[in-house]
Amino acid sequence: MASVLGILVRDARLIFREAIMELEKFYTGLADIFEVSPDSINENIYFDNETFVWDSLAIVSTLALADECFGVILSGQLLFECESVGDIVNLIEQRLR
Amino acid sequence: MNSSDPQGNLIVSHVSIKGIVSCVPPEIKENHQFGEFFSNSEVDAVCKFTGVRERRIASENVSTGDLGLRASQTLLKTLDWRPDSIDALIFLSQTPDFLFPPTALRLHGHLGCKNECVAFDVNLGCSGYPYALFIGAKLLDGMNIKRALVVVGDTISKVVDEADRATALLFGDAATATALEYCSEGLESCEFELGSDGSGYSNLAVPGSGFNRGLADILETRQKCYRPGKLFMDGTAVMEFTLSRVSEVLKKYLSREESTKTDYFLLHQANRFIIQTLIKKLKVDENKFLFNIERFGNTSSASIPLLMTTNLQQFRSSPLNLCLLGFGVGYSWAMATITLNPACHLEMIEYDI
Repeated sequence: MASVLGILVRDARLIFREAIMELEKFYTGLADIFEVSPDSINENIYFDNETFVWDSLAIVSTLALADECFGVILSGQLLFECESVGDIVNLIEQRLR
Repeated sequence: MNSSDPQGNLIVSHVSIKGIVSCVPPEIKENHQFGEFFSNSEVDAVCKFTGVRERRIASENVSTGDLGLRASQTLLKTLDWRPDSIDALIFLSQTPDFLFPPTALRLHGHLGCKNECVAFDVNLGCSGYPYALFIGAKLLDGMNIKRALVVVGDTISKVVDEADRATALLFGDAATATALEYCSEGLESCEFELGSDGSGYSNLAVPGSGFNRGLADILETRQKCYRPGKLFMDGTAVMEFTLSRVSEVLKKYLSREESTKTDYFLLHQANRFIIQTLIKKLKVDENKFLFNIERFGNTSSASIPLLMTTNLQQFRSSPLNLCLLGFGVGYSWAMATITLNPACHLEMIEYDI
Protein backbone atom coordinates (compact mmCIF):
# COMPACT_ATOMS: atom_id res chain seq x y z
CA MET A 1 0.00 0.00 0.00
CA ALA A 2 2.73 2.35 1.02
CA SER A 3 4.67 1.65 -2.19
CA VAL A 4 1.59 2.32 -4.32
CA LEU A 5 1.15 5.61 -2.56
CA GLY A 6 4.85 6.31 -3.09
CA ILE A 7 4.48 5.75 -6.82
CA LEU A 8 1.41 7.98 -6.94
CA VAL A 9 3.23 10.75 -5.09
CA ARG A 10 6.26 10.39 -7.36
CA ASP A 11 4.05 10.49 -10.52
CA ALA A 12 2.22 13.54 -9.23
CA ARG A 13 5.56 15.23 -8.60
CA LEU A 14 6.75 14.40 -12.12
CA ILE A 15 3.57 15.76 -13.67
CA PHE A 16 3.82 18.83 -11.43
CA ARG A 17 7.45 19.38 -12.40
CA GLU A 18 6.63 19.01 -16.10
CA ALA A 19 3.79 21.49 -15.78
CA ILE A 20 6.12 23.95 -14.04
CA MET A 21 8.69 23.62 -16.81
CA GLU A 22 6.05 24.18 -19.47
CA LEU A 23 4.75 27.21 -17.60
CA GLU A 24 8.28 28.63 -17.43
CA LYS A 25 8.65 28.11 -21.17
CA PHE A 26 5.26 29.76 -21.67
CA TYR A 27 6.26 32.77 -19.57
CA THR A 28 9.54 33.09 -21.48
CA GLY A 29 7.50 33.06 -24.70
CA LEU A 30 5.15 35.73 -23.35
CA ALA A 31 8.18 37.83 -22.37
CA ASP A 32 9.35 37.62 -26.01
CA ILE A 33 5.92 38.67 -27.24
CA PHE A 34 5.82 41.73 -24.93
CA GLU A 35 9.57 42.33 -25.37
CA VAL A 36 10.25 42.34 -21.62
CA SER A 37 12.57 40.23 -19.43
CA PRO A 38 11.21 36.77 -18.51
CA ASP A 39 11.21 37.50 -14.76
CA SER A 40 8.73 40.34 -15.25
CA ILE A 41 5.99 37.92 -16.34
CA ASN A 42 3.66 36.50 -13.70
CA GLU A 43 -0.03 35.77 -13.20
CA ASN A 44 -0.68 39.24 -11.79
CA ILE A 45 0.38 41.10 -14.91
CA TYR A 46 -2.58 43.05 -16.27
CA PHE A 47 -2.65 44.19 -19.89
CA ASP A 48 -2.31 47.90 -20.61
CA ASN A 49 -1.70 50.25 -23.53
CA GLU A 50 2.04 50.63 -23.03
CA THR A 51 4.13 47.61 -22.11
CA PHE A 52 1.69 44.72 -22.02
CA VAL A 53 -0.34 45.56 -25.11
CA TRP A 54 -2.91 42.83 -25.73
CA ASP A 55 -3.49 43.46 -29.44
CA SER A 56 -4.18 41.06 -32.32
CA LEU A 57 -0.47 40.37 -32.88
CA ALA A 58 -0.01 39.44 -29.21
CA ILE A 59 -3.15 37.28 -29.23
CA VAL A 60 -2.20 35.37 -32.39
CA SER A 61 1.34 34.85 -31.04
CA THR A 62 -0.04 33.59 -27.72
CA LEU A 63 -2.36 31.16 -29.54
CA ALA A 64 0.69 29.61 -31.23
CA LEU A 65 2.70 29.68 -28.00
CA ALA A 66 0.02 27.83 -25.97
CA ASP A 67 -0.14 25.17 -28.68
CA GLU A 68 3.66 24.83 -28.61
CA CYS A 69 3.96 24.62 -24.81
CA PHE A 70 0.79 22.75 -23.84
CA GLY A 71 -0.56 21.26 -27.09
CA VAL A 72 -3.85 23.14 -26.74
CA ILE A 73 -5.47 25.38 -29.31
CA LEU A 74 -7.24 28.14 -27.42
CA SER A 75 -10.24 30.04 -28.71
CA GLY A 76 -9.16 33.37 -30.18
CA GLN A 77 -12.37 34.97 -28.94
CA LEU A 78 -11.78 33.82 -25.32
CA LEU A 79 -8.15 34.96 -25.50
CA PHE A 80 -9.35 38.35 -26.70
CA GLU A 81 -11.44 38.66 -23.54
CA CYS A 82 -8.45 37.98 -21.22
CA GLU A 83 -7.37 40.89 -19.03
CA SER A 84 -4.28 39.42 -17.41
CA VAL A 85 -1.64 36.70 -17.72
CA GLY A 86 -3.58 34.87 -14.98
CA ASP A 87 -6.67 34.82 -17.22
CA ILE A 88 -4.65 33.13 -19.99
CA VAL A 89 -3.26 30.55 -17.56
CA ASN A 90 -6.82 29.82 -16.38
CA LEU A 91 -7.93 29.31 -19.98
CA ILE A 92 -5.09 26.86 -20.56
CA GLU A 93 -5.90 25.01 -17.32
CA GLN A 94 -9.54 24.68 -18.37
CA ARG A 95 -8.50 23.25 -21.73
CA LEU A 96 -6.02 20.80 -20.13
CA ARG A 97 -8.75 19.47 -17.82
CA MET B 1 -7.54 7.12 -65.53
CA ASN B 2 -8.39 8.67 -62.18
CA SER B 3 -8.02 6.56 -59.12
CA SER B 4 -7.88 6.75 -55.39
CA ASP B 5 -5.02 5.41 -53.31
CA PRO B 6 -5.46 3.50 -50.05
CA GLN B 7 -5.19 6.72 -48.04
CA GLY B 8 -8.19 8.04 -49.93
CA ASN B 9 -6.27 10.72 -51.79
CA LEU B 10 -7.18 11.67 -55.32
CA ILE B 11 -4.69 10.71 -57.97
CA VAL B 12 -4.86 12.09 -61.48
CA SER B 13 -2.42 10.62 -63.99
CA HIS B 14 -1.33 11.56 -67.53
CA VAL B 15 -0.92 15.21 -66.57
CA SER B 16 2.11 17.26 -67.52
CA ILE B 17 2.74 20.82 -66.35
CA LYS B 18 4.35 22.46 -69.37
CA GLY B 19 4.92 25.94 -68.01
CA ILE B 20 4.02 28.63 -65.51
CA VAL B 21 4.27 32.38 -66.07
CA SER B 22 3.49 34.83 -63.31
CA CYS B 23 2.80 38.51 -63.89
CA VAL B 24 3.15 41.25 -61.28
CA PRO B 25 2.73 45.02 -61.45
CA PRO B 26 6.09 46.83 -61.70
CA GLU B 27 5.37 49.27 -58.89
CA ILE B 28 7.09 48.28 -55.66
CA LYS B 29 5.47 49.50 -52.44
CA GLU B 30 7.81 49.29 -49.48
CA ASN B 31 6.11 48.84 -46.15
CA HIS B 32 8.19 51.49 -44.40
CA GLN B 33 6.47 54.04 -46.67
CA PHE B 34 3.26 53.49 -44.71
CA GLY B 35 4.40 55.69 -41.84
CA GLU B 36 1.65 58.22 -42.55
CA PHE B 37 -1.14 55.78 -41.68
CA PHE B 38 0.52 53.91 -38.83
CA SER B 39 3.31 54.66 -36.38
CA ASN B 40 6.77 53.41 -37.32
CA SER B 41 6.80 51.03 -34.39
CA GLU B 42 3.45 49.59 -35.50
CA VAL B 43 4.76 49.07 -39.03
CA ASP B 44 7.93 47.44 -37.64
CA ALA B 45 5.96 45.11 -35.38
CA VAL B 46 3.58 44.02 -38.15
CA CYS B 47 6.38 43.51 -40.69
CA LYS B 48 8.45 41.50 -38.24
CA PHE B 49 5.43 39.26 -37.73
CA THR B 50 4.33 38.88 -41.36
CA GLY B 51 7.80 38.91 -42.91
CA VAL B 52 6.63 41.34 -45.61
CA ARG B 53 9.12 44.02 -46.67
CA GLU B 54 7.67 45.10 -50.00
CA ARG B 55 4.79 44.29 -52.34
CA ARG B 56 3.59 44.83 -55.89
CA ILE B 57 0.40 46.84 -56.13
CA ALA B 58 -1.63 47.06 -59.34
CA SER B 59 -2.47 50.55 -60.59
CA GLU B 60 -6.11 51.58 -60.70
CA ASN B 61 -6.51 50.61 -64.35
CA VAL B 62 -4.99 47.15 -64.04
CA SER B 63 -7.20 44.20 -63.08
CA THR B 64 -6.52 40.59 -62.20
CA GLY B 65 -7.69 39.68 -65.71
CA ASP B 66 -5.16 42.10 -67.25
CA LEU B 67 -2.28 40.51 -65.35
CA GLY B 68 -3.61 37.03 -66.16
CA LEU B 69 -3.95 37.90 -69.84
CA ARG B 70 -0.30 39.05 -70.04
CA ALA B 71 0.88 35.93 -68.23
CA SER B 72 -1.19 33.76 -70.61
CA GLN B 73 0.07 35.50 -73.75
CA THR B 74 3.69 35.11 -72.68
CA LEU B 75 3.15 31.47 -71.74
CA LEU B 76 1.43 30.52 -75.01
CA LYS B 77 4.09 32.27 -77.06
CA THR B 78 6.95 30.61 -75.19
CA LEU B 79 5.42 27.14 -75.46
CA ASP B 80 4.41 27.79 -79.07
CA TRP B 81 0.81 26.87 -78.23
CA ARG B 82 -1.71 28.29 -80.67
CA PRO B 83 -4.73 29.78 -78.84
CA ASP B 84 -7.02 27.46 -80.83
CA SER B 85 -5.21 24.43 -79.41
CA ILE B 86 -6.54 25.17 -75.90
CA ASP B 87 -9.51 22.97 -74.96
CA ALA B 88 -10.22 24.35 -71.48
CA LEU B 89 -9.64 27.73 -69.85
CA ILE B 90 -10.14 28.12 -66.11
CA PHE B 91 -9.89 31.47 -64.33
CA LEU B 92 -9.70 31.31 -60.54
CA SER B 93 -9.85 34.45 -58.41
CA GLN B 94 -11.66 36.29 -55.64
CA THR B 95 -11.08 39.61 -57.34
CA PRO B 96 -12.33 38.96 -60.88
CA ASP B 97 -12.73 41.71 -63.48
CA PHE B 98 -16.52 41.67 -63.15
CA LEU B 99 -19.32 40.07 -61.19
CA PHE B 100 -20.28 38.87 -64.65
CA PRO B 101 -19.33 38.00 -67.34
CA PRO B 102 -16.79 35.45 -66.16
CA THR B 103 -13.26 36.77 -66.61
CA ALA B 104 -12.43 33.44 -68.28
CA LEU B 105 -14.61 34.55 -71.20
CA ARG B 106 -12.83 37.89 -71.47
CA LEU B 107 -9.52 36.00 -71.63
CA HIS B 108 -11.02 33.50 -74.11
CA GLY B 109 -11.99 36.38 -76.40
CA HIS B 110 -8.72 38.30 -76.07
CA LEU B 111 -6.55 35.25 -76.58
CA GLY B 112 -8.60 34.12 -79.58
CA CYS B 113 -9.52 30.67 -78.32
CA LYS B 114 -11.86 28.41 -80.31
CA ASN B 115 -15.62 28.00 -79.71
CA GLU B 116 -15.19 24.40 -78.56
CA CYS B 117 -13.02 25.56 -75.63
CA VAL B 118 -14.60 25.09 -72.21
CA ALA B 119 -14.24 28.32 -70.18
CA PHE B 120 -15.42 29.23 -66.69
CA ASP B 121 -14.50 31.05 -63.45
CA VAL B 122 -13.90 29.56 -60.02
CA ASN B 123 -14.25 31.62 -56.84
CA LEU B 124 -11.61 30.46 -54.35
CA GLY B 125 -8.75 32.20 -52.60
CA CYS B 126 -5.67 30.97 -50.80
CA SER B 127 -6.44 27.30 -51.47
CA GLY B 128 -7.01 28.14 -55.14
CA TYR B 129 -3.87 27.06 -56.98
CA PRO B 130 -3.77 23.37 -56.00
CA TYR B 131 -7.57 23.40 -56.45
CA ALA B 132 -7.31 24.82 -59.98
CA LEU B 133 -4.61 22.26 -60.85
CA PHE B 134 -7.00 19.55 -59.66
CA ILE B 135 -9.87 20.86 -61.79
CA GLY B 136 -7.64 21.32 -64.84
CA ALA B 137 -6.04 17.89 -64.43
CA LYS B 138 -9.45 16.26 -64.04
CA LEU B 139 -10.74 17.87 -67.22
CA LEU B 140 -7.92 16.47 -69.35
CA ASP B 141 -9.18 13.29 -70.99
CA GLY B 142 -6.81 12.90 -73.91
CA MET B 143 -9.64 13.01 -76.40
CA ASN B 144 -11.71 16.16 -76.34
CA ILE B 145 -9.58 17.98 -73.81
CA LYS B 146 -5.83 17.71 -74.30
CA ARG B 147 -4.69 21.16 -73.24
CA ALA B 148 -5.87 23.32 -70.36
CA LEU B 149 -4.87 26.88 -69.51
CA VAL B 150 -5.27 27.59 -65.81
CA VAL B 151 -5.19 31.28 -64.86
CA VAL B 152 -5.01 32.00 -61.14
CA GLY B 153 -4.53 35.32 -59.42
CA ASP B 154 -5.79 38.19 -57.32
CA THR B 155 -5.54 41.93 -56.87
CA ILE B 156 -6.52 42.03 -53.20
CA SER B 157 -5.18 45.61 -52.95
CA LYS B 158 -8.47 46.69 -54.55
CA VAL B 159 -10.48 45.57 -51.51
CA VAL B 160 -7.98 46.21 -48.72
CA ASP B 161 -9.06 48.55 -45.94
CA GLU B 162 -6.16 51.05 -45.76
CA ALA B 163 -6.93 51.78 -42.12
CA ASP B 164 -6.70 48.12 -41.06
CA ARG B 165 -3.18 47.44 -39.83
CA ALA B 166 -3.64 43.67 -40.11
CA THR B 167 -4.26 43.66 -43.85
CA ALA B 168 -3.05 47.01 -45.23
CA LEU B 169 0.60 45.94 -44.95
CA LEU B 170 0.17 42.30 -45.98
CA PHE B 171 -1.36 41.79 -49.39
CA GLY B 172 0.23 42.07 -52.82
CA ASP B 173 -1.13 41.62 -56.36
CA ALA B 174 -0.21 38.97 -58.93
CA ALA B 175 -1.74 36.67 -61.52
CA THR B 176 -0.35 33.51 -63.07
CA ALA B 177 -0.95 31.20 -66.02
CA THR B 178 -0.22 27.47 -66.01
CA ALA B 179 -0.25 25.20 -69.06
CA LEU B 180 -1.44 21.62 -68.50
CA GLU B 181 -1.25 18.93 -71.17
CA TYR B 182 -2.49 15.36 -71.36
CA CYS B 183 0.42 12.99 -71.79
CA SER B 184 -0.37 9.44 -72.86
CA GLU B 185 3.10 8.14 -72.14
CA GLY B 186 5.11 8.31 -68.96
CA LEU B 187 3.83 8.14 -65.45
CA GLU B 188 3.43 11.76 -64.59
CA SER B 189 0.73 11.96 -61.98
CA CYS B 190 -0.50 14.45 -59.44
CA GLU B 191 -2.00 13.62 -56.10
CA PHE B 192 -4.51 15.85 -54.37
CA GLU B 193 -6.11 16.28 -51.03
CA LEU B 194 -8.89 18.84 -50.88
CA GLY B 195 -11.11 19.91 -48.03
CA SER B 196 -13.60 22.45 -46.80
CA ASP B 197 -14.93 23.78 -43.50
CA GLY B 198 -17.68 26.27 -44.20
CA SER B 199 -18.12 27.07 -40.51
CA GLY B 200 -15.28 29.57 -41.01
CA TYR B 201 -16.76 31.43 -43.98
CA SER B 202 -17.31 34.68 -42.11
CA ASN B 203 -13.72 34.99 -40.82
CA LEU B 204 -12.11 36.07 -44.09
CA ALA B 205 -14.53 37.91 -46.30
CA VAL B 206 -15.58 41.07 -48.08
CA PRO B 207 -18.94 41.85 -46.48
CA GLY B 208 -21.24 43.77 -48.79
CA SER B 209 -19.43 42.68 -51.95
CA GLY B 210 -22.37 40.66 -53.27
CA PHE B 211 -26.06 40.46 -52.62
CA ASN B 212 -26.22 38.94 -49.17
CA ARG B 213 -26.77 41.07 -46.08
CA GLY B 214 -26.41 38.23 -43.58
CA LEU B 215 -22.64 38.34 -43.33
CA ALA B 216 -22.62 41.99 -42.27
CA ASP B 217 -25.27 41.17 -39.65
CA ILE B 218 -23.14 38.33 -38.29
CA LEU B 219 -20.08 40.58 -37.97
CA GLU B 220 -22.15 43.27 -36.27
CA THR B 221 -23.54 40.74 -33.78
CA ARG B 222 -20.00 39.62 -33.02
CA GLN B 223 -18.96 43.26 -32.60
CA LYS B 224 -16.32 43.01 -35.29
CA CYS B 225 -15.01 46.08 -37.05
CA TYR B 226 -15.55 45.96 -40.78
CA ARG B 227 -16.18 48.29 -43.70
CA PRO B 228 -18.67 47.28 -46.40
CA GLY B 229 -16.88 46.35 -49.62
CA LYS B 230 -13.55 46.00 -47.80
CA LEU B 231 -11.62 42.94 -46.73
CA PHE B 232 -12.38 41.67 -43.23
CA MET B 233 -9.98 39.23 -41.58
CA ASP B 234 -10.31 37.68 -38.13
CA GLY B 235 -6.62 36.88 -37.72
CA THR B 236 -6.95 34.88 -34.51
CA ALA B 237 -9.71 32.67 -35.95
CA VAL B 238 -7.58 32.05 -39.04
CA MET B 239 -4.66 31.13 -36.77
CA GLU B 240 -6.87 28.64 -34.90
CA PHE B 241 -7.81 27.08 -38.25
CA THR B 242 -4.18 26.88 -39.38
CA LEU B 243 -2.91 25.31 -36.16
CA SER B 244 -5.66 22.70 -36.14
CA ARG B 245 -6.78 21.82 -39.67
CA VAL B 246 -3.85 22.83 -41.88
CA SER B 247 -1.42 21.32 -39.42
CA GLU B 248 -3.37 18.01 -39.55
CA VAL B 249 -3.27 17.89 -43.36
CA LEU B 250 0.48 18.46 -43.40
CA LYS B 251 1.07 16.06 -40.51
CA LYS B 252 -0.84 13.32 -42.32
CA TYR B 253 1.26 13.82 -45.43
CA LEU B 254 4.51 13.86 -43.44
CA SER B 255 3.60 10.54 -41.82
CA ARG B 256 3.65 8.88 -45.24
CA GLU B 257 6.72 7.27 -46.77
CA GLU B 258 6.41 9.33 -49.99
CA SER B 259 6.88 12.57 -48.10
CA THR B 260 10.59 11.81 -47.62
CA LYS B 261 11.00 12.18 -51.40
CA THR B 262 9.60 15.71 -51.34
CA ASP B 263 12.28 18.17 -52.40
CA TYR B 264 10.37 21.32 -51.47
CA PHE B 265 7.23 22.40 -49.68
CA LEU B 266 5.53 25.44 -51.16
CA LEU B 267 2.94 26.73 -48.74
CA HIS B 268 0.58 29.57 -49.47
CA GLN B 269 2.52 32.65 -48.33
CA ALA B 270 -0.10 33.65 -45.75
CA ASN B 271 2.45 35.28 -43.47
CA ARG B 272 5.86 34.20 -42.23
CA PHE B 273 4.72 33.63 -38.64
CA ILE B 274 2.00 31.13 -39.65
CA ILE B 275 4.35 29.08 -41.84
CA GLN B 276 7.15 29.12 -39.27
CA THR B 277 4.73 28.06 -36.54
CA LEU B 278 3.70 25.07 -38.68
CA ILE B 279 7.35 24.16 -39.35
CA LYS B 280 8.14 24.32 -35.63
CA LYS B 281 5.01 22.39 -34.61
CA LEU B 282 5.59 19.57 -37.09
CA LYS B 283 9.38 19.54 -36.60
CA VAL B 284 10.18 19.56 -40.30
CA ASP B 285 13.36 20.74 -41.98
CA GLU B 286 12.95 24.49 -42.50
CA ASN B 287 15.31 24.41 -45.49
CA LYS B 288 12.70 22.50 -47.47
CA PHE B 289 10.24 25.39 -47.24
CA LEU B 290 10.41 28.18 -49.79
CA PHE B 291 9.54 31.81 -49.09
CA ASN B 292 9.13 34.95 -51.16
CA ILE B 293 6.71 36.80 -48.88
CA GLU B 294 9.34 39.43 -48.02
CA ARG B 295 9.30 40.64 -51.66
CA PHE B 296 5.69 40.08 -52.72
CA GLY B 297 3.52 39.85 -49.59
CA ASN B 298 0.50 37.57 -49.47
CA THR B 299 -0.75 37.37 -53.06
CA SER B 300 -3.72 35.16 -52.19
CA SER B 301 -4.42 32.51 -54.87
CA ALA B 302 -1.30 33.51 -56.85
CA SER B 303 1.21 32.95 -54.05
CA ILE B 304 2.15 29.32 -54.79
CA PRO B 305 2.64 29.60 -58.58
CA LEU B 306 4.40 32.96 -58.05
CA LEU B 307 6.74 31.21 -55.61
CA MET B 308 7.39 28.51 -58.21
CA THR B 309 8.46 31.11 -60.77
CA THR B 310 10.62 33.12 -58.37
CA ASN B 311 12.29 30.42 -56.26
CA LEU B 312 12.60 27.22 -58.31
CA GLN B 313 14.71 28.47 -61.23
CA GLN B 314 17.96 27.50 -59.52
CA PHE B 315 16.99 23.85 -59.00
CA ARG B 316 16.09 22.95 -62.57
CA SER B 317 18.65 20.26 -63.45
CA SER B 318 16.49 17.29 -62.41
CA PRO B 319 12.79 16.59 -61.79
CA LEU B 320 11.51 18.15 -58.57
CA ASN B 321 9.02 16.53 -56.21
CA LEU B 322 6.91 19.32 -54.78
CA CYS B 323 4.23 19.54 -52.16
CA LEU B 324 1.95 22.54 -52.73
CA LEU B 325 -0.41 23.51 -49.92
CA GLY B 326 -2.95 26.30 -50.08
CA PHE B 327 -5.31 27.20 -47.23
CA GLY B 328 -7.54 30.05 -46.13
CA VAL B 329 -10.74 31.75 -47.26
CA GLY B 330 -13.76 29.52 -46.79
CA TYR B 331 -12.23 27.78 -44.92
CA SER B 332 -10.87 25.78 -47.81
CA TRP B 333 -7.61 23.90 -48.23
CA ALA B 334 -5.93 22.00 -51.03
CA MET B 335 -2.71 20.05 -51.26
CA ALA B 336 -1.12 18.87 -54.48
CA THR B 337 1.95 16.69 -54.74
CA ILE B 338 3.45 16.99 -58.17
CA THR B 339 6.62 16.29 -60.10
CA LEU B 340 7.98 19.23 -62.02
CA ASN B 341 10.13 18.38 -65.01
CA PRO B 342 13.24 20.43 -65.84
CA ALA B 343 11.61 21.22 -69.21
CA CYS B 344 8.70 23.04 -67.52
CA HIS B 345 9.01 26.73 -68.37
CA LEU B 346 9.04 29.05 -65.34
CA GLU B 347 9.08 32.82 -65.72
CA MET B 348 8.02 36.01 -63.94
CA ILE B 349 7.08 39.10 -65.95
CA GLU B 350 5.87 42.61 -65.11
CA TYR B 351 2.93 44.47 -66.62
CA ASP B 352 1.44 47.93 -66.34
CA ILE B 353 -0.71 50.02 -68.68
